[in-house]
Amino acid sequence: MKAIKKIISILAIAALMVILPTGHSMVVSAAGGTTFYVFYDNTEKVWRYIYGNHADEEAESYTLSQLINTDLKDGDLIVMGGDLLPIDNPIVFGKHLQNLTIMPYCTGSPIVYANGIDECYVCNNVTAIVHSDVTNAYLYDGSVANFDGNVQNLTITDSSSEITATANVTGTVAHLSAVADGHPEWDYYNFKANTLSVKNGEVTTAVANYSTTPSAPETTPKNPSNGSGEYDDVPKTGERSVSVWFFAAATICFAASFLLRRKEK
Amino acid sequence: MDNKRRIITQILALAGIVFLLAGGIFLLRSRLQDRDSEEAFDSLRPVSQESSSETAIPDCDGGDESLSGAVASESVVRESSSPEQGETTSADIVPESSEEAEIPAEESPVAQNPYLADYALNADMAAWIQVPGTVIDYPVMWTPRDENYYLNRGFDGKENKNGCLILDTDSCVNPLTTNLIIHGHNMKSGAMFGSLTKYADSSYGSEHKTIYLYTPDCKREYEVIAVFYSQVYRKTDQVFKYYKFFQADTEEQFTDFYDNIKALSLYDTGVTASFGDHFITLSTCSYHVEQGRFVVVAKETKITDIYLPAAE
Repeated sequence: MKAIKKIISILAIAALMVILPTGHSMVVSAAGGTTFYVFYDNTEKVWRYIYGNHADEEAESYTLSQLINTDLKDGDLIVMGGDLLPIDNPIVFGKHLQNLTIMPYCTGSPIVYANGIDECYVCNNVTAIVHSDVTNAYLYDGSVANFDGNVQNLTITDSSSEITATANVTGTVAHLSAVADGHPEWDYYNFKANTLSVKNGEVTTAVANYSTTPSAPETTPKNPSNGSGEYDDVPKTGERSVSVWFFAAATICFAASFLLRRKEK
Repeated sequence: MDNKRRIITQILALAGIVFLLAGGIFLLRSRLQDRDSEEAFDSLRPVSQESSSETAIPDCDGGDESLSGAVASESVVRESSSPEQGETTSADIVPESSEEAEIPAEESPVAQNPYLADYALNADMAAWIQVPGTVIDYPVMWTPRDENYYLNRGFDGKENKNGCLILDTDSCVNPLTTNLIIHGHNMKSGAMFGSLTKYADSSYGSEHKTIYLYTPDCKREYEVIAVFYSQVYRKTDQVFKYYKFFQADTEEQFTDFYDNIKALSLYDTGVTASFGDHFITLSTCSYHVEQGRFVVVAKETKITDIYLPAAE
């Protein structure tokens, strides 16, 4: 009986280790969130990060995969800076971020996925593509941002007397505002899904698709990441590896058999 | 107790052997299916495709991005691309009189469809897609009654995990819809659309920017216009869904799709489009998010060959 209980325990632990992704760890949200500075190491040609909100050559850096797989938790803050080239793969943070800031004058066009962002800053002359719902998004001089999700508040600020940023949002936008040289330029509300378009500071969305008064939106913006309900019916084109699971099960059985035999001896 | 433990040990060892054998069998089966699939597709590919370009009607276009080709055929093709005008047979595509065509008659033997035999083998085949310099050289199946029928079946209808490339049921070759969406498996072996994700690299994208689609009536050439990561959303999500765009009846509908794919694109391909243009969208699974997809959209730039209708 004891042996059977032991086997069941071993099998359960082994099954958990197999089923869970490699390197997965328990996620604990830290109060206040941890700030990480993400940058591209041109020497080693890899993405890396350090703890903190700015570049620091003295600080120990780690590979981005460790951040994504282990260290990053819901509520953390990400700052991206430096030369962000090459952008041939999106960065999937996979967590709800308290803050995402892309520092001024970054080169390259970072593509970021997250499960929701509270505050998103796209600084001067930065181009970024953000796949996430955003609560408050801020664009600055000459920045270009595409948001693939819903944005609650989008604020465009320019230090000059003219707005120069460009923005596109595929979801809904509850409030769009612009401030140039400290002076309010415009306040628009309730952009319908997939209509907000600002090109070099000019709102090019058809007037019928938004409101100039802050009336209640007709529909509550939905969160693509956390919505409930069925997915659209699109052919599933992934590849399943059934053999991997069989090999994993075989490993578990042999390991359990070996342990029992050792115990017997 | 010792006996019981011994029995359990043996059972576990036996179970391990069974699982190992099963895993091996599935792996072998997978490899055999890969081989069978590739052999089957190889047998469908024509031996030489140079003949079609040698006898093709020369372009009369002078570099314009719009459709090129013989004037009569171009005008008929444009007419046939409108769904409101009903079906168009291949006979309508062929220029009716030489005085309408800009190409002298002696230079314009209409090309022979290199995949004619394949269309005859399987009536579910809608087109053949080819991306020069890549492994993408496959038939495209269309089964409106069951969109996923060929997703895990070979061209011969037998079960095969590689499946075939499938044309979305809401897309149509004849009459041609604004956007043809083709789905294919992202195979680890690189087969089917397993190499599609290489387009994330802009240099790869510019080296393989041309896509050919051989439909029963003509050979269409496309140029990659946008490359992006996306996903399948929930039915209630109000976001841009690339997989929902098939037909643009108004300029607003066209611009909506065009602006979104350009905004999402990983890099600027330098290719633009305007209302009236046609697209082909290649879609495969991507593992960057749950229900992730990797998408390559290309714009039709010209029709290079016009094919004779199949003999009855």
